[in-house]
Amino acid sequence: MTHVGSPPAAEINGNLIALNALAGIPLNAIKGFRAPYLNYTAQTLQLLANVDFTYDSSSASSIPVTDPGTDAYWPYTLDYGLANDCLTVEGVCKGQPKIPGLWEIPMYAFFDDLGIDGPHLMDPWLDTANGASTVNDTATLQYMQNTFTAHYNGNRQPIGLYTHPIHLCVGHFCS
Amino acid sequence: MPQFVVFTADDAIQSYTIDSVNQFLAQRKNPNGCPVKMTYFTSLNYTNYTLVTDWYVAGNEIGDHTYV
Repeated sequence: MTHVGSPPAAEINGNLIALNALAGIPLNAIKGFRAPYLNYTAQTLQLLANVDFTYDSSSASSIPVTDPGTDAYWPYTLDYGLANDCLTVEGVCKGQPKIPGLWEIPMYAFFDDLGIDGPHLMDPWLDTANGASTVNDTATLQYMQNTFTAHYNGNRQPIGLYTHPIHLCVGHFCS
Repeated sequence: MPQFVVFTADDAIQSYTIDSVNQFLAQRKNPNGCPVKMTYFTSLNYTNYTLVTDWYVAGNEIGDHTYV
């Protein structure tokens, strides 16, 4: 297996085989997929359906819930295609790809004071807020709270904390 | 309708990354008193498979994040 953006079947299925053989995870317990770098294509989603995944969670919701055109959809099936990443992934949306029964769980971004121009998706605590040049933890907390409140007061779409824990130090690894 | 908060981690599972995730989760409980569970989209490179088993048996979800 090699390191690729849009993963072929060998990358997807090899992970299942290894986690089953080496960690004893039942194959039918591995239900979800996220693409490395969130790089996926319409074909990736079909490959997931071919081996009976329940859901993908690689797409981004990048329009705030306070915007009438928000793409912060509750998880949905691809019976009528994908409705996220319409401008960034080729061959999705406008009813494509139709994969009945496969769920998409969008990754819901946080938004700072710049609104749609200030999205924060993964590891938001590592980002600078409001277009600043340095990280400001107070500003990070503020926009995370603001987005949470917008979800809470709106349609209660889930909030997501998406982490790369290798970037989060513990104990003596912090120094 | 409750406000759901999902917590995910990506990449290898190692003792450092489990400690890191536990900083967020270990001391927290759901409103019904149940411990907080999360989904780990696990990549194979650098992963400690014993810890994958432990994390799954502790009630967490293991997802596919390919090799690297």
